[in-house]
Amino acid sequence: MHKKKHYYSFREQEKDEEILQIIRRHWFDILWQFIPILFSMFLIMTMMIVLPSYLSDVSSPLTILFVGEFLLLSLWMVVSIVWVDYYLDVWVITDRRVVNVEQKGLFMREVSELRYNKIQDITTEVHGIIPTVLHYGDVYVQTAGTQPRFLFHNVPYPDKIKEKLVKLQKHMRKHDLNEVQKIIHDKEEFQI
Amino acid sequence: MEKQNNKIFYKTMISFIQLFYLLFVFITAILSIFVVYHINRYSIDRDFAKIQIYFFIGGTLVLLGINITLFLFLPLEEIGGNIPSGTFLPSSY
Repeated sequence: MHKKKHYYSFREQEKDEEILQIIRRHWFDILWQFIPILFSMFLIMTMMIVLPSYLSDVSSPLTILFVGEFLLLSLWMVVSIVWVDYYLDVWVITDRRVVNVEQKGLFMREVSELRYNKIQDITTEVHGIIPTVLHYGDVYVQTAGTQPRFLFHNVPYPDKIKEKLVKLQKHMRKHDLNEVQKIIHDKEEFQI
Repeated sequence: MEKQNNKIFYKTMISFIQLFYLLFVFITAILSIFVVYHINRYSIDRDFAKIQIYFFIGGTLVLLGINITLFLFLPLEEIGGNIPSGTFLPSSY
């Protein structure tokens, strides 16, 4: 049986450029932002259910329902913006470069790229109990260009990402295109 | 005189509430358009982008529909009437 093939592409993609991997922030990062919002939603819904039964005035339950729903709609919009910020904030590893797409809210988007030949040093940092347990952290890439450091923030398995980047850089330096092609063909293996 | 002033005050308040609510609906609509635009334009996975857009539009329409309906049935005059007379009037009254 054929597995349905997913087509990935990004706006800044060059002709014949192959996407090897797409990295997003760790799921815990978004969960951490969602927890207070979900808790507020739960409180509002409880208020909408419990409060009207305590009020004798006919107009008051409707007012409470309206206020509650108004707050829920506002929170829904906040959830959407937080999600867009998370979902569109990506690092794309291709066979030629690493592209960092940084979405800041709804009205700011930054795209920067890093060619493998510009990489000087790669450092990983896992800081804290939760990141250690859930295996996520930062990857810093020191570059030779004007941009001082390229940061993968709160990404899953930073060590593995570093390993893959080093491997790609090594092959690119040697102009070992066969090895790079092999990596492209073994995309499944390359996925973290 | 005081009663008439209160009446004018309530009516002005209601108009303000309606105006602010209209502004809220407008901002919600603009933000929704931006969210859909961003997901549609910049998403890397097209299939998942479609699911997200349907989910988001569905959720927003349901919540906004309920909210507008509740607002239309909201007895603004009664709510205003519950405020003790003269509460918001200047001390000279």
